Amino acid sequence: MAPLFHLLLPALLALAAVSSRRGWRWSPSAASGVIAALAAAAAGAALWSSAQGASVVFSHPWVAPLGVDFALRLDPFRSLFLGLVWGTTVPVILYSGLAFRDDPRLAGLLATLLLFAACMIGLILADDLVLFFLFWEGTSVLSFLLIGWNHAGAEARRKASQALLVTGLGGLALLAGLVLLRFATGAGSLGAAFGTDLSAHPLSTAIIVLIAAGAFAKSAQVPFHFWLPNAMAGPTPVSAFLHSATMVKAGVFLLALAAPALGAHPLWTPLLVTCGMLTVAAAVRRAWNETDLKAVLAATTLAALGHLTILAGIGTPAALKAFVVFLLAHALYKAPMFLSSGALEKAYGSRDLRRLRGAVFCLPIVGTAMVVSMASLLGLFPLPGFVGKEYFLKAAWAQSPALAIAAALSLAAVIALALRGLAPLLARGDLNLPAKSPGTALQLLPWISAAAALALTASFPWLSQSVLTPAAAAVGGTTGASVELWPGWGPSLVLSLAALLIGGVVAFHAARPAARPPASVGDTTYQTLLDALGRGSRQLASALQDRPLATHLGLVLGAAGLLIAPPLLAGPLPLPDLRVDAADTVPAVLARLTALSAAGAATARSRVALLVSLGLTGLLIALLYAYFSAPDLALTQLLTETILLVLMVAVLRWLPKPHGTPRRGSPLAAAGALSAGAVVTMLVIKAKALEFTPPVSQFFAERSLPDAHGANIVNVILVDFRALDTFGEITVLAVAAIGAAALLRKRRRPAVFDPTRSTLLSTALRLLLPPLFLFAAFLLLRGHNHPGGGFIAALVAATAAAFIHLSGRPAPSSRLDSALLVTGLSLAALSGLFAVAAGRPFLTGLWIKPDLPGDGPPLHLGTPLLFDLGVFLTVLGFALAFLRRLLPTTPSPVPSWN
Amino acid sequence: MELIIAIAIGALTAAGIYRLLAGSRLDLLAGILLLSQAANLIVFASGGLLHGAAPLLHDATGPLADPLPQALVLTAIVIGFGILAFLLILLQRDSDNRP
Amino acid sequence: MTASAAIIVCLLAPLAAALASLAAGPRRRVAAALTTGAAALSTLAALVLVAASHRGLIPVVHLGGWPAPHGIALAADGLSALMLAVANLVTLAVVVYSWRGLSGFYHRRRFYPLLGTLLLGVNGAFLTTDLFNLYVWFEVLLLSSFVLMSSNPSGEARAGAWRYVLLNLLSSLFFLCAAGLLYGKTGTLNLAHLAALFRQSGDSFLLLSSSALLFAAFAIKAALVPFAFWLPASYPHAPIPVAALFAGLLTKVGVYAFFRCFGLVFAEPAGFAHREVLLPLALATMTIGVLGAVAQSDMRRILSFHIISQVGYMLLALALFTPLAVAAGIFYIVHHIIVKTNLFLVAGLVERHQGSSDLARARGLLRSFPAAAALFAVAALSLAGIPPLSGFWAKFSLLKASLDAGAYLSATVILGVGLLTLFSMLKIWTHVFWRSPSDSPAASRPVSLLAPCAALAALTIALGLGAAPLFQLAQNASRSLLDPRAYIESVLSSAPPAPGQTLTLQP
Repeated sequence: MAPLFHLLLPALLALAAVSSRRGWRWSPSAASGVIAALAAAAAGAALWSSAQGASVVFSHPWVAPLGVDFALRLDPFRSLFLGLVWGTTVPVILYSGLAFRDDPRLAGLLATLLLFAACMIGLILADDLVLFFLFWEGTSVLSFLLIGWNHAGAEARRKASQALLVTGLGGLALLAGLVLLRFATGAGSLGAAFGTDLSAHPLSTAIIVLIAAGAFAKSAQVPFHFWLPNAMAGPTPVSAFLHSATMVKAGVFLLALAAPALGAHPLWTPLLVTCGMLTVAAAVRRAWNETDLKAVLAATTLAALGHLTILAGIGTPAALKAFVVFLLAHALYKAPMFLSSGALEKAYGSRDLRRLRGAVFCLPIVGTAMVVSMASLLGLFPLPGFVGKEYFLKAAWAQSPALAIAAALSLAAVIALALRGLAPLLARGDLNLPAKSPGTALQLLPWISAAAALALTASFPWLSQSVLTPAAAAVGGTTGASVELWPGWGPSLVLSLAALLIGGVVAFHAARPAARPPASVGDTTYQTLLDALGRGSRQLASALQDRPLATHLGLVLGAAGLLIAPPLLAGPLPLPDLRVDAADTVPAVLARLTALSAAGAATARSRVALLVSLGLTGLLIALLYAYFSAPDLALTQLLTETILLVLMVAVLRWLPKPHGTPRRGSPLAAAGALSAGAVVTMLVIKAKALEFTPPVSQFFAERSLPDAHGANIVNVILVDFRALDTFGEITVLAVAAIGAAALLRKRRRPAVFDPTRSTLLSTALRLLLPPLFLFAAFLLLRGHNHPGGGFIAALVAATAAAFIHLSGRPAPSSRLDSALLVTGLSLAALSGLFAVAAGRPFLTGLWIKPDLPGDGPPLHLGTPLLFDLGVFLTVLGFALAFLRRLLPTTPSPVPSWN
Repeated sequence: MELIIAIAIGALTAAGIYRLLAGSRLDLLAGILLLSQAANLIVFASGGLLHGAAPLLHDATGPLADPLPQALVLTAIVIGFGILAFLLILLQRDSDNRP
Repeated sequence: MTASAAIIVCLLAPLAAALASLAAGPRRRVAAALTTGAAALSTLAALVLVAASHRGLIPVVHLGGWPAPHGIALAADGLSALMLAVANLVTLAVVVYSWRGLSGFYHRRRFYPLLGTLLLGVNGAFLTTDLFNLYVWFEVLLLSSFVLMSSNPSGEARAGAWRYVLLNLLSSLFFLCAAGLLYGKTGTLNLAHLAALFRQSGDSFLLLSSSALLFAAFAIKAALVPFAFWLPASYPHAPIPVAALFAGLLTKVGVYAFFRCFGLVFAEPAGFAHREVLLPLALATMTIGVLGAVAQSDMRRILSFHIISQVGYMLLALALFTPLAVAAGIFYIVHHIIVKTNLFLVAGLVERHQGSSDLARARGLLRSFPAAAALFAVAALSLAGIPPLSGFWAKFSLLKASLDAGAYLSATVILGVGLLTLFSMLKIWTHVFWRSPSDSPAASRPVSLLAPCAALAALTIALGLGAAPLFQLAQNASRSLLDPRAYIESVLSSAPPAPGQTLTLQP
């Protein structure tokens, strides 16, 4: 339960912070005090559990299908980290409460910081690989929000985005590495995965590269180091909390955990040691001429992370022991330094070191904390910094003397940087007095944290035995010896003294030009990449998107052709039957005429020619349908073609002529069209040759008369066997009619001629109407057994309606259309529901057979006939809607919905 | 005989695509119309091309044409009709709105 | 509600809403209430079907009482049930949003009736087991979407609408030809029957050109590159509820069709080359889609390109074709529908508040509209695959599936595109939500606009924190696709009662 408690506590504290309001008793500042106190207690609890030495695991299945558990582990190593996180939380929260007392966003800041702490603690405690990744990404996202806290400034936004993208990239690499790790070890938990020796596994190189990439991005190692100095754009508590003590440590935390499993791999040590060294060098180079206090501190943090990476890279139990000590020492001296810098910034209104001359003396409380911490950074005995460096050099020496010398030089570089950078604070003459006092509390804060550090140092034996040694054992395995304050005489001591000497000499004798800090190579590379990405993507998008319609159509057709052609051409092409029997002359002629008329439609220049060829093509196809035994089909084709052409003529009369000469088709289009035609021809030929199973439609011929009471099988299919298709079809028509009503809302143009002026015409039209309607009814009723049916009948009735329209009689309101549509569709649906009421599936036909006198053929009345009626009404409504809107007519009142 | 029908379908396709790529709104409409005719014929042809064998069960002598493709094509024709009618609406609206 | 009744409700409820709204005419409140009720009812029905599939059932309705493959059957297996549930749910959210979130101009363009027919088409497509019937429902939803898309009268919108219409019409034509050719070759149109035949014969070569046509048809619908460019031309111009619905639903119907036809029927090893054709196209789609998104500077355009990119992910899952990959793909579809719809609705909130969703014009919403910021953050992080949201599990399972299968290039592309997705979401955040707010007059923030977004965001979080149940369902659905014996049996052999019962009436 202990791990769960540590995970939930910061979340609860975040809630507490959010609930505070300025001006209440429970103000954010007050809340910060309480929260800090609780955090201190939690820190103590963490250290205490470290002293217990036991390893606690809490596990609960989470996403079982993917093998992910909610598993937490608390061992001495993690307890140490936990203690560091909580321990840093205390001063950070207190500082925020004090420094941002009057800021309206304080509650939000506290809550975000605490949520971050929850993620960080989750990361430390997570035992399941996926859970670990979850918290890893959580820290990245929260870090983004915190760096960009003052997001009004463009630079802050840019730097926050940079941090998120770089750590995000690393995160993705890490995810891949973790998945591979799971795959390689078959284990889902960190403990199990890192418990086996993986150095010989074939995937281990990939795993190392990916995990290292993730860790390097998070801990700002080369080549991902450039985001950390930029992250200082955030407020001071953020920099102190995230970017020096907690989030950046996550990477090296992971590396330390991974070292036992992967350390023996030949890539591990060179990769980590090299990158670590390069990071130290880059940090020192970057900050050598810095005048911003925070930047100098950031550089020393970066260097310390480099050193920790080197130690993880060495990977021996001794190195991991040094890791633990170095880690603790860094945390103990860094926190007071950041807090001091915050207090100084408040006092002087600036972080520029040139303005902070002699600050140590002007503000002695703060100054003491700063000096003590600096001494620890420099590695002076008997401070923890000294112990850390000693063990570092010892571990390096055990690996190889050359490495130890390189390590010592890197330490010297950091010492030089620190002395050079922070020297103005200790300047004696020409003191700068602070503009205002930062307040007692704010000054005491660094002093208290430095004092706490000293207290821990004073109790070093206890610290070593209860915390450091168990932690080192938990991560690296026991080495037997415990951590001592005085490591004894030896090469490490020599090297450390040498480092101190070299560093001091370099610091005091290096010239101090007024040069600006050099630009970061990483940052400029990042920016260049980003700009290239922007430019390249815009060019790509524009090239693909901003094209005329014909290009996109051609692209789709071409790509489809590429998909279809290979399988089509690959197989044997059956030789087509080239003979034309005498019996086949009719269809042959029809087919040839169709092809010619299609060619005419393709090449027609004028609209009239186009419409004529389209009409002709449609007619020929109808004749083909008729010839090949499809009477219903031929009728439908004929009627729809006619009405479509009429509508087209109506629309095109008023369509403005295109400007200039009609465009000639491009040869490319012609070539494409011809090849497409050839492909289709081949498709059809091939399809004809390959029938091999009896079609399902035999069933229809057998059952149409006995069970569905219809002799016109096609109609029976449409209203009974496959009624749902027809249902969808009339819905399509209804939607088209709705579309007509929705889009064409203006009144129509004046009539071509006024038919009411010609009584002969109106009389003739009026006389035609009743027969036409009767004919339509006749077609509807006989459709089930003879060619006819709802659709054809409706089109005939629509023709009649068109005559009404053209005859100049005032048209019925457009409400009639929607009434017809609604009634038709409802009737169709209802006809299917009768069956449901009788306990049968939807759209089942229910028939009654009234006993008729005499012995004529039996009459069957059933729900499919109702369905056909529904089809009739819908199609009629559709046709009316279109005729009304597209045909020219005399003006008539506009319906209210428009 | 099937070859000549297949060629006719191919011609319709080629005509339709050529028209479609020609650019003006009317051309698009014509192209779609031609292509739908071609597609309908393809579906129709898949049922076999029999003469004189209408799928009516009264005086059925000999094999009947496959009624299913006929029903499918009928549905396809009607749906195509609805869509083309809608395209006409779009055409009309565009010409109404043109300044 | 029994499962069979639920199937019928899924069809009839949207139809009733469409007809009733049409009859209601200009009475907007009535139409809104009816449509909302119908959407809620069909969502309920879909959830009943999900529960049934969870119990291992495959409810089937043989329409007309005719046995499949002669009649048309509607079946709700795991995949269909999941798709129905999420599609109806987001439609409900969009309908609620459109109470206040859609201007009267579009309401007069028959928005509610068209929404009803659109939902009818979608539900029909998910339920049907017949290839031609699938075509018919595609046409229903296509034409409804044509009208909705064309309702914006501005010049650019009209051009985009024509592009949308024509390319999707090409898709329909391909589909129709493919259905015809398939019938000619196999003699059946029923998907289960085709799957059974395919598995028996193993002689797939004969079917490859038809399946290639089908592939092209669905590729246009699903917005697979290079068939995808109708989408960014048209989606940014549709009104927000329409765009949200399209973004969530329409392309996913195409993806569903892919899963159904190329997962069930034309499955490996006899079928179309998943690895040779679908895989590279999916990778290209992911990459080009996200690069297109990175190039844009308007929220709607960015989100439109992201649809393309994310469709690539789903089809990549199908291309990998292992049980885990297909399950990951199904999970991804569900997650994405919810997140994408939500993102568009939030973009609508931004537009209402700032007058524009252009990144240069909208600013500072974190301060002035924190609710929108929180909703956007949830949806955007989920899209980018940040844990513990639903998107993370989708990407993680897909990554795991590809690494398990040794598809290292796919894994790299998954991660790279994920990073670029994060990048483009970041761009939106830093421009629209950060920066200091402008002094625009505060628009109203009715609850009916925020509630759907909040509900969808809550669902994203819930699916992230509790991914196990949905993943279980996805795995069941994947199993039933890859081993369809139960599906085939349920559809083909369960004998319906004798049809065409005749009652004799005595005079």
